[in-house]
Amino acid sequence: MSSIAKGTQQNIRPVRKKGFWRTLGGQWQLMLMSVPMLLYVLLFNYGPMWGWITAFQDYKPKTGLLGSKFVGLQNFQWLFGREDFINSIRNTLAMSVINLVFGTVSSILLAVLLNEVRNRGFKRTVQTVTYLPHFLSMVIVVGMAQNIFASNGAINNLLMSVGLVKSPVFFLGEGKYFWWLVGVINVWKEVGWNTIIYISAMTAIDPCLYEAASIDGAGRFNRILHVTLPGIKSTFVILLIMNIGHLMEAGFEIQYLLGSSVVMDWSQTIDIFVLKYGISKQQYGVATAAGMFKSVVAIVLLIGANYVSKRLGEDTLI
Amino acid sequence: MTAYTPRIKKSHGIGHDRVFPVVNAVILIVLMFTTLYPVINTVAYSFNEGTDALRGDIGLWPRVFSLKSYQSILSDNAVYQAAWISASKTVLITLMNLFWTSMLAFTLSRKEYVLRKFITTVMVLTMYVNAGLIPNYLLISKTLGLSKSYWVYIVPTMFSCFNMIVIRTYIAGLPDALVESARIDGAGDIRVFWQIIFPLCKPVLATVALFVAVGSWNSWFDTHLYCGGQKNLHSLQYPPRPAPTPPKPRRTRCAAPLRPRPSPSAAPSP
Repeated sequence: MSSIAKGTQQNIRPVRKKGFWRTLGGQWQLMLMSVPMLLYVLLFNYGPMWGWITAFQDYKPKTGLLGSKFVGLQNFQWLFGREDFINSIRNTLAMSVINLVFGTVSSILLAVLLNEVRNRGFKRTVQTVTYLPHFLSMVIVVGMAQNIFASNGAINNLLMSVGLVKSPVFFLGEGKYFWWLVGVINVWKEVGWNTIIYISAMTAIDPCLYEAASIDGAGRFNRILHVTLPGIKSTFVILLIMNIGHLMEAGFEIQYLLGSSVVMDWSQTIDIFVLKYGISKQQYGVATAAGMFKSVVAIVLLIGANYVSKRLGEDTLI
Repeated sequence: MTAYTPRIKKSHGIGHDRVFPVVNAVILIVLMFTTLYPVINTVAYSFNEGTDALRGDIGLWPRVFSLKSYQSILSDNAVYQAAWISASKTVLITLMNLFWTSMLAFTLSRKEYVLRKFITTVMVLTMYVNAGLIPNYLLISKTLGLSKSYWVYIVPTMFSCFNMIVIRTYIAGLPDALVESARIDGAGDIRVFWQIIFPLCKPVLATVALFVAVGSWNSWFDTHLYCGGQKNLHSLQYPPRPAPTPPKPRRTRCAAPLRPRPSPSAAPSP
């Protein structure tokens, strides 16, 4: 009984303005629940940022962060003098732009088509089936893609039987196909999952708008164009800003698993470059510099996209 | 369900409105087939006899039916070990995530908490600012010495800011009166969370558990990076990788000549 009374006194929200430390002391239970995770994040997410010093050092694991020699911007100079790093930047940007365009267009298209389906059961079946690949591991998906796109795989068989090509196309063995292959596989894997957010935005559209449009003589196509698409505009803009912030991340797993030495000029992204030089070759300084370049560009892109969106009078993320 | 019925009938739109649902349904059925074909194709390959499968050209049904592939997989003890690693790490990571993430989400949903703004900012920034692979690798394997240990799967993946925001949004939707009345009855914050908020969060926790469990089950790169040499720590996703090249500790100077990396997937596809 007394403990309950004490607890009540201690925890009642202060009516008068108390000092910061007094209030904090009264909230020790909230602190107990949140500070461990704060420390965890500081260690695992902010702690490694000390490692960015490595980018300006000739880092040796033996001497560590404090004992290694500072070399200024030498690591960056070395990086930008390398053709394979420039190629990695080009590949990363190309593949993420392809992913962004393909991914956004396909998921909006599918969401619009699903939104027009009146039969509940059919709609759910399509949704469930198209979600399925999202849950598959990239290892498995790449294995499947290697079967399907093989020279005697389903795609080549289809193309040959239709008569589009005379001899099998080596999708996996030629660099020029690689970016598009990654785009297609990503669409296949994620299109159903990406529709969820657009479909939920579409359910929020007021049905009166559709009726009003119908009365005004709008057919189905015009209703989609003038009601559905404007209804998902703000969702689209927010997602676009977020994705532009992630433009330097074209994915890593798919290129790593699907790529081979034959197509490396087209498949190597910045992440793979970092892995190759940092982990396999133990050139920590150079690899950290490459990773740091990526992060900094990502932040600039995010802030830039946010600023442009604000100027255009659209929603902003930050 | 009944067939499509237009909400408002119009004299000029009816013919058009009858054609569209059919076209739409056909498009969606083709899409479903495209989604399912590679999956069924892979299953068909797995039930086909090995040397015959190398010829390729198998569609939706095995050409020479055989259970040999499954027999050889299931007689390999490494698979059971990997399955155990995968299953146990998935369960542990999911439980850890649910517990820590929901607890933090609860404190950050309390408007009177003085550290709320600060902690929220610190957490949200982690979604955009990432130190990168190498500093993370150095921290986890060199500073903390977690590589080649089971805990490398669990410890670095206990928290996700995105999931925290999902749970916090859900908690914010619960009536404030629940917390207030519990507080008037004398419950402390820990008790309010554990006995009132946590049980009410079951639906959102199920969603987050799904995200976390799928991510953990499908991950292979952590095995590749930290436990490549430890056969007993491999997860189920790891062995199917064609010709894996685990990182070899090797001292090289900064400007050492390049050696071509052995390709991770040079093995011919079946």
